[in-house]
Amino acid sequence: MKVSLAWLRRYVEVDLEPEALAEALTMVGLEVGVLERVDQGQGPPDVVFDLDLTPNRADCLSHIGVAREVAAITAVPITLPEAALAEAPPGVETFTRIDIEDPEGCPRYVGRIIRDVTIGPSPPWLQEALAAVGLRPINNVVDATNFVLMEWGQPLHAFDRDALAEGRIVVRRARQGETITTIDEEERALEPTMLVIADAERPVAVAGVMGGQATEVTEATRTVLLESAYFDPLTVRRCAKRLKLHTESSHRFERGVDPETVLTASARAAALIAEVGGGTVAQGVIDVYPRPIERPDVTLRVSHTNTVLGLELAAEEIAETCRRVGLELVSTEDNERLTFHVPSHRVDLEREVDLIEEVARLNGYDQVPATLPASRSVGEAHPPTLAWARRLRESLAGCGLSEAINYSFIGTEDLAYCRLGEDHPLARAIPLQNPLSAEQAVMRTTLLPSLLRGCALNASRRVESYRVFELSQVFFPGTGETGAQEHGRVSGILMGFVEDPLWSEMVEPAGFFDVKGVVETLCEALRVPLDEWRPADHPTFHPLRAATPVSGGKPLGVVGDIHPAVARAFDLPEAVVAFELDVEALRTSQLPSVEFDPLPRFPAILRDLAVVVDDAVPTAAVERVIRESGGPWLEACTLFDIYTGEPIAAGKKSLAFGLTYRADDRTLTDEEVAEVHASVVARLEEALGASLRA
Amino acid sequence: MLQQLSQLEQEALAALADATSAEAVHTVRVRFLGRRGKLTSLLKAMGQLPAEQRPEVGRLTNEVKVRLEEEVSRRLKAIEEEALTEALLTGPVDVTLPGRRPPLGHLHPLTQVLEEIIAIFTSLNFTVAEGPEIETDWYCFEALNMPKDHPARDMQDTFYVADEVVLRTHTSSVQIRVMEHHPPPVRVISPGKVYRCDADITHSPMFHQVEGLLVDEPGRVTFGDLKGVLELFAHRMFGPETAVRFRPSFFPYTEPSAEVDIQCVGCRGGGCRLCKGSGWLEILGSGMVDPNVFAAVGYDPESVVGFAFGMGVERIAMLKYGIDDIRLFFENDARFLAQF
Repeated sequence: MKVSLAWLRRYVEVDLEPEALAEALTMVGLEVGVLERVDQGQGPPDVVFDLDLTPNRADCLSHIGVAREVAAITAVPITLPEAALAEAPPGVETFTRIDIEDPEGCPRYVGRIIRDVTIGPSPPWLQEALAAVGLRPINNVVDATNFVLMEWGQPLHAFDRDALAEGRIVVRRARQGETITTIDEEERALEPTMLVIADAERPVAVAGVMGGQATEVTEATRTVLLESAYFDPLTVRRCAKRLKLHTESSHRFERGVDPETVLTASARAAALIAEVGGGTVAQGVIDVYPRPIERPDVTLRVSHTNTVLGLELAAEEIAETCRRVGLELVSTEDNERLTFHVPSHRVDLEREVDLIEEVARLNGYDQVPATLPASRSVGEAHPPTLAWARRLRESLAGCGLSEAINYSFIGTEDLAYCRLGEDHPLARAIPLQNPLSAEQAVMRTTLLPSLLRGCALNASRRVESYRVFELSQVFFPGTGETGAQEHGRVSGILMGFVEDPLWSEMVEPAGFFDVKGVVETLCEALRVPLDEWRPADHPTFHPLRAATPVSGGKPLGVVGDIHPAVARAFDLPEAVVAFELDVEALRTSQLPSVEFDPLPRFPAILRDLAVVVDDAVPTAAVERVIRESGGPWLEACTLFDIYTGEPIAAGKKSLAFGLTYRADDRTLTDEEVAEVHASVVARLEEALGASLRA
Repeated sequence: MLQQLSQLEQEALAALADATSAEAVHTVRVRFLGRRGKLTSLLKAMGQLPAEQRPEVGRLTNEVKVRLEEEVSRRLKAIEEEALTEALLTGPVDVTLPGRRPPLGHLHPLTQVLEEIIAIFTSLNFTVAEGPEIETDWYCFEALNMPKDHPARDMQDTFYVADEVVLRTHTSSVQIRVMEHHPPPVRVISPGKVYRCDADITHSPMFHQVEGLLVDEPGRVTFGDLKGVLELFAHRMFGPETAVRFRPSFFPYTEPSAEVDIQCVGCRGGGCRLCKGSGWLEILGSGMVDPNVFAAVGYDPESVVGFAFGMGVERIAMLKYGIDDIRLFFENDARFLAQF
């Protein structure tokens, strides 16, 4: 809403400098976005304030509304414009008739006739006034209605009375199949929920939104029918939304106009049209008001006001503050209950709390002393997930991965790029009804596409190594009130070098065992014991170089090389490795607490063991046999070498382990250990067909 | 005899001072202190002295012996030190070469700012609550005094998943859930992702919020307390010298409502491009909880009072770090992330 200082001065004396006025308005809740000095043709330069009005302040969508606030702030009187109305017979009824068929949509409709007008440009003062607040001059009649719109905040519409079938007005809902061409030359289909202004035959305006082209004022117009009405805010809002039309008029009706101003503005505009259009105002006014709008009085409690605000205001102070915004004290009870009559333009004041806000606002928020609430501990500290998530993030950062945050929505093509066929559970993503773009059309079911896109972006910007993780929600269709379920995921991706290249040595690009190592370290940091790594079956990953870590029998997710076809689809220049883990599975696999093991007091005996097994035997299987057969003295078993080739037979491999034996109550002898070690070897032969490497 | 002793000591010390290797020191030692050394010979000659002089000369001779032994070790140590120093200096190293750094990841700036905000409020006894990002219309709007077709809904452009299901436009929805499940008093903040269909350099379709709520008996919480808590927050976040102002505003779920501005971090109030010349920056919205909200969650609006506030984490982070484009947060460029 643009407000001209020169215009304001028609109604209220302003002693403040423009900057000070802007500050004062801002501090009572009418935020001044921009303050602009405008050179006018003849007069002194004007200042235009662009107000960012909140939706509750419908009353300030006019110069008189803002003038009332200025008057309230500076405690000066306000002068309202008088309509210099010179009516002449015949009466308005000889020219038109107004019927309201839908009093719910239109509680009040006021019509006046101005005859013998001559359409032409409006005088310079009017054109300049409108231009200052950003309105384009059109012709004298339309400019006059726009002037009153900006003065009183009452939207008006001027019809060419002679273009109306039977010259009359019917306010009703649109009929199925009706259309209208609005003044913006668009033909619009109307629906039965929409309120229209019709003549005897067809809709001539969309009520409160926009007029129709067929009955608008043209150069040929001689008789003007001036509409001033109160339309139901909800009806106008729904209609404007449906038609995707937002006009000066609908903006005000949606927020609620002053039902009393309907009449005042009509007289004011009629007089102005006669003045600038050279016509005569017909005798009388048609005021159809089937549903008078009542404004109940509001009672405010002094003690409650002070309790909420943290102030100690006396009843008189509160009453005086309220008086400044036009609230009229009707009764006082024990200096505690103050009952006010609410002025009709303040459609936002309906409840006690609305008046409390007025008291706070006009006294100034800066007058309320800042205090701290009485200390009180409430409920449990924090969800345990919070500290846990922090530990997870810090562990991954410690592994060299930075944290990424991506949008929760992705494109359906991202899912296809990840080789997730339509039947795959991860392809069942919840679509948005009104996405901003095809790339942000569905809620993601996996974090991997976002991370892969991050790799591609960074690669295109010549970032050599990219190591990131993300901790976020993913979304799936579900039951329940939202029809959605949300799960936490932590995913990571490594592209390029494992660590920053150093001058002293070659650094390898990240591979399967790097990403597996990250997940192993993460699990250690979170105290999640891993019992095994199963082959993974995930379309986004390499068919062989991918695995699922398992804890307590529960699969945690997937870790491995991204499928080369996926990497190609995302336009990645090189191979990348990634993981995606289920946050809930990780969190519930955490060991409850640490149980301390005493430090060893006796020396250990170390023995190496190199066995030859079939290539197909997983290392973990050999290790499991060693651990099972090593007895209570076997403390550790660490793989230190893998060898294939001569002299090992083809199809076989040699695995070398370092075994640590120790007892916790004495020093073991070589003989004791030799016995156990031999039984380990025997068990390996038996279980896996292993042989000791010669 | 005594003169001889003194002369011997001087001679030995001079010889030690001349010795530049461990071997030379040992040779000197043998020459003076060895079994056939000069001091030993002198000691043997003591028998020729009168009996009354012997103890005194014996004591002095012993003292010389101790002093010389000490000097021998001192010399040996010094020679060793010299040799070591010389050896160390033979393999020069360029200490200006880069070190071998274990890789270090960086937490996202939004996470860091979010944690800072959470820490400030938890120090004031606020607890943390989380909730779903896909919400029903009830939790996101209706319960917050935003009936359908209310113009206030225009303030938040909403993504829809179904007719009554939205991506939450604010985390106030979590507060409704908290109040539905906990009787007053309530003192909670709800951090998380929120969504609005809007995208340019200062608006992102997804961003992060922290909303706060404090509800207690009338008299235990006031609009003055709201000011106190948020002033304290602004001072901890932006520095104790930062001016803070509260100005009237409108939110459907609070009344009275207040926008909170801080003195511009770019110009310290003088007026610049960042604050569009006003000297102030809007950082959060707040107000006293509207009685309709209490009624919606089943609280008795007459027996509770509360305040609520909400802020955008991106906004705070942009001001804190001087970031001018919100999209940088979600591009995840490695060179951006590495700065925090």
